[in-house]
Amino acid sequence: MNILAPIGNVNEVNSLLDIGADELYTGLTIGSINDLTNYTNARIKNNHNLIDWDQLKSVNEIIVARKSRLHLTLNSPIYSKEQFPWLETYVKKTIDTGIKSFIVNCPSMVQFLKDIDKKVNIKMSCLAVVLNSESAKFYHDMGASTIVFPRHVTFDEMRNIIKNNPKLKFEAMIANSRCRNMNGLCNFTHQMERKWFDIGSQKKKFSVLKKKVFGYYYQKIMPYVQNTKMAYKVFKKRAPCRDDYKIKISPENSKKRIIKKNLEDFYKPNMGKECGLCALYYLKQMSVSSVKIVGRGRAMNIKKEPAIMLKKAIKLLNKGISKEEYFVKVKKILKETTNVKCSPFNCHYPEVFYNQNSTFQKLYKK
Amino acid sequence: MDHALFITNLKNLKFFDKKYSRIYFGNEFCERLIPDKADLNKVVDFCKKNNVLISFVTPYATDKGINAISELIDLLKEEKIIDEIIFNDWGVFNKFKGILKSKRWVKGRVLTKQYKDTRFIELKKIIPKNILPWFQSSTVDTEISQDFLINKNVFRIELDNLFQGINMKLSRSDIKASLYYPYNFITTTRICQSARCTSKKKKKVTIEDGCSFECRTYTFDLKAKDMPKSMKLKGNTCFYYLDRLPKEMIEKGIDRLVFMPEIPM
Repeated sequence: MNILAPIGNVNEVNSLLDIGADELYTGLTIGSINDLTNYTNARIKNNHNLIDWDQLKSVNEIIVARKSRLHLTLNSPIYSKEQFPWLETYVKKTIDTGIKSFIVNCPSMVQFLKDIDKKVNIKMSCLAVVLNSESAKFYHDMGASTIVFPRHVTFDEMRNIIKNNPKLKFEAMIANSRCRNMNGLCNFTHQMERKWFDIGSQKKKFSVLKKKVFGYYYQKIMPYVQNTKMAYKVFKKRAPCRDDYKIKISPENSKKRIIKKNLEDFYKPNMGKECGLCALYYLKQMSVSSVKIVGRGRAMNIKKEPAIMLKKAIKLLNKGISKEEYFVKVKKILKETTNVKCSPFNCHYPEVFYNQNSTFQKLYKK
Repeated sequence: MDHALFITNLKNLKFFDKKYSRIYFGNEFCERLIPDKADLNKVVDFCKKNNVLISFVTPYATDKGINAISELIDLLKEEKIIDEIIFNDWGVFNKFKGILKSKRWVKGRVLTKQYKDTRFIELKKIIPKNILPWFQSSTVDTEISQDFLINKNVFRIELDNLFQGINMKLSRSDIKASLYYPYNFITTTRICQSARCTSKKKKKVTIEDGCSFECRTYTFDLKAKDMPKSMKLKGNTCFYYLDRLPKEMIEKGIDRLVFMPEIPM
C-alpha cells in the first residue's frame, strides 16, 4: 500500500519522501492570480501549487532520482473555452518535462488528455465522485487507471466497487480532508482568497495616494476604498463551509433546542488533527492500492504527521499482526505522534470508531 | 420558451397549470428519496390526463441507489410519456443508457458544474473583468465537453441560476439547456445534516446512519455573518433562492424553464 502525499513547493519533496511518502502530487499554476492561466486546478493559491516550469522540472528530477512518481492535478471545476488552446500547450509541455500522470475530475478532461497522449496515466480525482461500480466502470472504459474514492463512501460500498472493477486501482483519503460536504458536488467557491484581491498592495497604494493631492485623485481612490472594504468583509472567514452559521428552524416545534444543538455541532468549524489509522486495516484488506493525504497548501507538519503515522501503521500491517493488536498499537502511534486522543470527532472514518467501540455501540442502539 | 414543473412528491401536483408542458419527477440528491412504483404510476396517470410529458429525475447514487432505479426500469421502459431521464451520476447513465435507449438522456445540474455562492452578490462588483466570465461559465460551454456529450447522445443539460450571471453561448451548439428556478442548489453531502437532527444522543453523524425522512418535515435557514444572503438547508442539500431570471436566455441556449414550487427534496 502506497502513501500519496501533497506538495506545495520544491522544498517539501525530499522531506516527505524521507518520511515515507511513496508518491507525490501537486498542481502547477502559471502567471498571476488575475490571469486565466492560473486556473488549472481546484486550488489556485500559490502555496498549493508549483508556480513555474523550472520548479516542475526540479521536482521531477528529484522524483526520478528517488524512483518515486509525481501526479499533476488538472481538476478545476470549470474550464472555459478560452483556456483550452492554452491548456493543450500546458499538457504537452508537462508531458515533455516527464510528468505523465494526471489527476482529473471530469470525463471530458479524460478525453482531452487521451487525445493528446494515449499513454498518459489518469487518476479520477475524488471530485469525480465515484460512488458506485458503474461510474468506476465508466471511467475505466474511458481510460482511467485509478479511482480516488470520495470521502463519503462506506467500506461496504468501497468493497463492492473494488470487487466489480478488478482491473482498476483504488485510492482512499486518510487525513486532512474533513469537509462536511462532498467536494465533487459542492459549488461553493474556494478559488477566491484574500491574496486574490491583493489587499496588502491596495492598502499600500492607497496610503501613498492619500498623501498626494486628495481632491484630484478622489474619484480614482474611492473605488479602491470600497473594494478593499468589501474584500475584507467577504474574506474575514476562510471559506463558507467553515463559517459560523446562525440556524433558524422551520417549522418551529418542541424539539427546537435539540435540533438547533445538533445542527450547530455539525456546522462548527472543525479543522483539527485527523486520524484514519484504524481504517487502514480495512482498506488494506480491500486491496486499496494507496492512501492519500490531503492538503497541498497546508503547513509541513500537517503533511508530515500523517505520513509518519501511516508509514508506521503500514509496517505493522505488513507484519501480519492481529486486528485487536493493530488497533491498540495504532492508537499508541497517534498519541505519540500528535498528542491527540482517539475520538469519533477526529476520526476520518467515524463508522470504524463506532463499530469497534462497544460503549458507543450500546449507547447508539439504545 | 418551454415551461416545466419540478415536483418531488405527489402533493405538489396541485401546482400544475396549463402553462407547463412537462413535469419533472424524482430526486436529485438522495437515493433514499427515489420514488416508488406506485407514486410514479400516479404521476404517469396525472400526466396522461393532462397531456404533458415526464422527465424522470435520478440522484447521484451508490450501488444500492442504482438497484432502486432498476426496480422502476420496466415502468420507465413501457411508458412513452416518460421521454426524458435526468441523470446526476455517470454510473446511472452508464448502467441504464443501453436499456432505456429510446429515452432522451439529460445531464443534471449536479453534474453540470457552476460556481454557486451567495457571496457573488458582492463579489461580482470587484472581480476583474477578464476573470468574471470564468465564474459565470461552465465546462459544458467548451467544444471538448460538447463533443463528448454529443458522442454519448446527450443533447440537453440542466443549469442553475447564478447571482453573478450566466455566461454561455450554447445556442451555437447542438446542446440545449434548461434553467432551474427559484431554488438553486449549492452543495450536497452524504453525511446528512437533517438525519437524526431530533436525536438526543450526542453522536457524530456518519454515512451509515439511517434517517426518518426528517427532510420531509424540517427546513433550516442558515445565515452567516459574511454571507449576503441566507441559505436554505433541506435534507442533505443547501440551496439559495433566486427568482430573477437572466436576460437573453435564448442566446445562451436556454429554451426551458424548470420551476420548483418548493425546495426539491
